[in-house]
Amino acid sequence: MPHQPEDSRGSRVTPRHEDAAPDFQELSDRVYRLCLAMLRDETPAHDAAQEALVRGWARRELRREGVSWWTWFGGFAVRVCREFRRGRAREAERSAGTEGLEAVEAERGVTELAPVSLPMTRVVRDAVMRLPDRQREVTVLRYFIGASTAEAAELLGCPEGTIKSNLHKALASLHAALAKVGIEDELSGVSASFDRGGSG
Amino acid sequence: MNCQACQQALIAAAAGDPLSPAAKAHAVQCAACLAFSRRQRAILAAFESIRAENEALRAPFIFAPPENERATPRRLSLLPRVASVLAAAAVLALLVVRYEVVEPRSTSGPSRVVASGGDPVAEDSDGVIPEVPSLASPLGYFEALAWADEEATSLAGDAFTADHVVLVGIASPTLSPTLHLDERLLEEDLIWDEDVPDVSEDMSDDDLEFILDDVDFGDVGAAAGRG
Repeated sequence: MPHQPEDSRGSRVTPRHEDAAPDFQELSDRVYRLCLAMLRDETPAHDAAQEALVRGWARRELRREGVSWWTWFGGFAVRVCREFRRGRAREAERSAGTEGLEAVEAERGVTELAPVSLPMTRVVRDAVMRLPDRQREVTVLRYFIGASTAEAAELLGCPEGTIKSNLHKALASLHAALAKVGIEDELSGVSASFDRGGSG
Repeated sequence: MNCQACQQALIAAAAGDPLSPAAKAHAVQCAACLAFSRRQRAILAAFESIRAENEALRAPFIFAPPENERATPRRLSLLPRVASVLAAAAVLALLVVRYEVVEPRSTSGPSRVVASGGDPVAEDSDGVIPEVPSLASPLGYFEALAWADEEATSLAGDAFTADHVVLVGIASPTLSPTLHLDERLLEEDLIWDEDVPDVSEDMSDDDLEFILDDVDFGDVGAAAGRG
């Protein structure tokens, strides 16, 4: 294994042309997970993951030094998922006819919040899917996928501050959404992760 | 919803910092904060659960890149981009000069297009560019876009697409930016390149200007002359 240089912060620098090929098994898993978390449905997630991997691989020469394979392909996955969601929304709008906005929203995968008797994960997933694009992407990356703030910033191509502010807005929106459906009384039995410092 | 003290405690918790005893004591006494922290716990617990589910997932495929396939060389991939920018600048010049304009030779005929400073641009012996449709009406504007698209395609070949004309249309100060922010912009791969900021449906005029900043329209007069 060739020696990899280190940058001034001591982290590994990935040479653009000379580095080892990625672990495609792991990469496929991670990209697929990200797409599934973004799109929720298996079939489009499968297609989106394949598309992201193909695009990312075709343009791998453009990968900048220090950008990991995961963030490189993850960035493509986020974009492809965004396109898929928009395509789905447009398709729904075209076929909606006189069915009104509710049908469009349903087709977009933005269903009404589930009743509170459903598992909390379902309620939260639904609420996350209703967030604006950037907030949803940041939330999915940070909390569903477990990416660090720095990773999410690299993956979305924006500063870490933007990630943090979008996370803050997303959490506020989730609170508002959950408060709106009146889940306060349902939450007593939820096991606490608060004292352990949350998930992050 | 929740008080400042609890807000800070939650931020600390989200960042993975341990809570102080005082913060914990406060959290159990404050009713508003209690409701908030219950929701927060529920959300974070749900996040953890979802993440655990995700981590257990395996892709139903393993991506296998084609053998002997070469990546798109960087140098070649930049060419269409450069050509697009040049073509966009040329088209912009031809569209923008109309503001300096316009002395219609007749009510039904084409407009006379004059560059900034009063110099005629690419005009024929009569000082007229007969191919440029009248820009005086919305219909004329769209005809002009179609014309500009053809011109730009002849300049830059297949690298130029109608989307760039739309992008140029946005630059026009007298036209509503939202009018031309259509789906083609969103679908065009070039717009999503790393070097070009994202275009989203809810972007503001400032954002649009930011995007246009990425296109070097600097020497539009010279570009128009070349066009």
